[in-house]
Amino acid sequence: MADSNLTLVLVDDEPAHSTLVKRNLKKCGLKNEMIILSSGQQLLDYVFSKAQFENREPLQKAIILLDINMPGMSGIEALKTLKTNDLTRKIPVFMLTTTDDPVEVEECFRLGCNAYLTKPIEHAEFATKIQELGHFIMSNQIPSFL
Amino acid sequence: MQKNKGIKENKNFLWLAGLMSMVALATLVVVYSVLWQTAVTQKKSDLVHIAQSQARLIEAIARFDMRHNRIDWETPIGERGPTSLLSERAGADTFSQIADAHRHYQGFGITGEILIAGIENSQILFLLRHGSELFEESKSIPMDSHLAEPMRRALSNLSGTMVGLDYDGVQVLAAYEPVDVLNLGIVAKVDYAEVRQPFIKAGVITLVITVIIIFIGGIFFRHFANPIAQQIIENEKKLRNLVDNISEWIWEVDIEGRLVFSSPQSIEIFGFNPIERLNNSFFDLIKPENIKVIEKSFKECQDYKRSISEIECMCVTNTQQLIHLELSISHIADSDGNVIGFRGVGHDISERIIREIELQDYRENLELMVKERTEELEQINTEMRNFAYIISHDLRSPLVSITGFTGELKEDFDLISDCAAKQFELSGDSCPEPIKEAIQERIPESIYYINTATEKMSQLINSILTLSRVGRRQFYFETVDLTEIVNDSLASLAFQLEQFSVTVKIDSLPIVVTDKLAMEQIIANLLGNAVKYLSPERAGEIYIRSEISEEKILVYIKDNGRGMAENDLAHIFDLFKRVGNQDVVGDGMGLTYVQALIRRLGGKVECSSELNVGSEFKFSILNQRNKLGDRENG
Repeated sequence: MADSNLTLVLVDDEPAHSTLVKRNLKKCGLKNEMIILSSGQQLLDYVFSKAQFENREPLQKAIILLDINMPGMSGIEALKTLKTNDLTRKIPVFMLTTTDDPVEVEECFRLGCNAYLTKPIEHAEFATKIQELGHFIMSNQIPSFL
Repeated sequence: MQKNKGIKENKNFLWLAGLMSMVALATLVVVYSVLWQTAVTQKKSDLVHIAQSQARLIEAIARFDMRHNRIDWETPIGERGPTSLLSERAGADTFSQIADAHRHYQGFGITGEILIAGIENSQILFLLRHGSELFEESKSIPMDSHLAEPMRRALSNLSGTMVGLDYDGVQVLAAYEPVDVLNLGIVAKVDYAEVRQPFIKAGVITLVITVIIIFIGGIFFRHFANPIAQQIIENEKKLRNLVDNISEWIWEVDIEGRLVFSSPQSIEIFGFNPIERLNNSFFDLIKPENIKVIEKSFKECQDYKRSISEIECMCVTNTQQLIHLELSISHIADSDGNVIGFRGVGHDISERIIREIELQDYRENLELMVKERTEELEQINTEMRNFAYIISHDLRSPLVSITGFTGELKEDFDLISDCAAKQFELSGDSCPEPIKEAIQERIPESIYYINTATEKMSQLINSILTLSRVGRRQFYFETVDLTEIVNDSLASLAFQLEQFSVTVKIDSLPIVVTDKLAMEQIIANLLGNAVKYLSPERAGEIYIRSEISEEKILVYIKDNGRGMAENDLAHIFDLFKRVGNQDVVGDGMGLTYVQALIRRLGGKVECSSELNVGSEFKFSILNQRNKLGDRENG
């Protein structure tokens, strides 16, 4: 059972994808809080309690599932900011994207992402992959980044 | 024109001949007059000598005779009686002696005569006439006659020479001398005509010879000298013609830079008549800013005595327009080698310069256009590169949603249909027919077709993605053994090869420098196709060979498969294009991919095929083996 104080932050400009991910994570029994954001800027605002997230609940543990191609600030830029900041460096970031371009993958790992997952087009595969991710989260101790 | 020329030539020739004749004639006259004078003087002296020696001789004889005979010495000759001359014994004796002596010698010349005469009865009595063929005595002429003037002078006691008439009225050259003792006169004479005759003869001969020489000279002149002269005239004309007709302006200046010659091209180039500017400074023609350059060139030409060419300068025409002139300068030296002026050629290059400027503009424009076009192409290229992202993300993303939610729908529908079935079973109610149809047939069918379509779309997107990545992947060049690649590829096709009992023949293949992965993909695709499209009607045969040249390596893969129709051949490399029977699985992508890879390797792929006979694919890649060798050696 995952830590109850673990927050899952889903960042994707496509609400449909976020919804699909959320549904599948829930299907495998993950009960944690899930925040759905739609751009890199929103993610940074959330993490650093800025703008609309000024009065958010304090975070203890979090996992970020980050899409790459988003309008405004892309996932890669957000990743770079998070991983170069000592405060946020330890937050696990899983890239979850439709792109499997090797150049992109390499770039993300270079910037310090913790995993790179491609969204499969096939529904069954997609469901399986996300549910596996859910099980992984549940069965692993996520360190507190604070 | 030709006729006029002939007349003019003849006139010139006549003038020349006339002049030569005049000169010859004048020379002859001078020479002959000198000779004539000399000859006459000589003749006179001869005659004087004869007359005087005869006179002195006669006197001597007479004196001798006188001593032995009586002679009237006292009476002067003129006053002696008319018979005194010969009647006197001594005189008669003396004279008979003289006559006798004269009889014994020939005389002189043809007309030369010695005459001895005295006066008798107021008549000149010729006692002796002695010529070369004549000897006679006693002839008298009246004293007051105009004839026999020399004798008259001798008898008048005069001595000298003269030209006058003799007793016969013939003009003679005569020497006269008195003989004192006997009161006689002696005359030695010769016909003037005889003296003159050799001169006339010689003159005539000389004249004839001169005329002949002049004539021959004239002929020579016409045949030899004249053609040379004509040639010179002709050359001069040609040169003049050339100067007049070439487009270049020919000029000449003195050491001070004053124009001393200008060819007529100045009219066309500068608008001034050649004569108009003579003695004006050459530098007046040059644009002030360019004068220094030209002066420097003149100086250089003078100092180093060498020609300078291709000097470009701007000149000012009569209408103050600026033109571009290209000048060449040579020095003119006198016989001592001192530079006394310059000459050269000027060529109006204004049009060329204008064209060059235009060309330069075009070039710059073209560069700009090329730059713009390159930027466009680069942008297109970048866009093409982004194509991979667009496909892998932007197209995939909605697809993920569609398939995802279709899947969700399917799951939820299954829940609902199960639930509904149970409900109807429990309640015993029969499900209404339309709902039953929807649940059992239409909804699953709809979901099935959505899935089929998304699957197909997913395939297409993956194919395009693969293709677009050909351009993105970094190639790594290494030495690759083609034989190994072919064998690996065949090994993966082993099952099919056995199935169709295919005979594979491989010639020795080279070791090449290329991207191994790309080469593997190329060979695998081509061999895969060869096997895939073998004809079921006959045992398969595949033949692989290669050709190596300095620049490239050619690989041939030939099969005896089903082949392709000519119409289809043109489209086999097109994306998603599949030709012939669609009984074999394929995505219509393989050859497009092969072509893209080969192009990136700097090569070309071609196919020749005949329906139901077989196909042959030929591809080339750059031969980079030498380059690699260089690198290794370097």
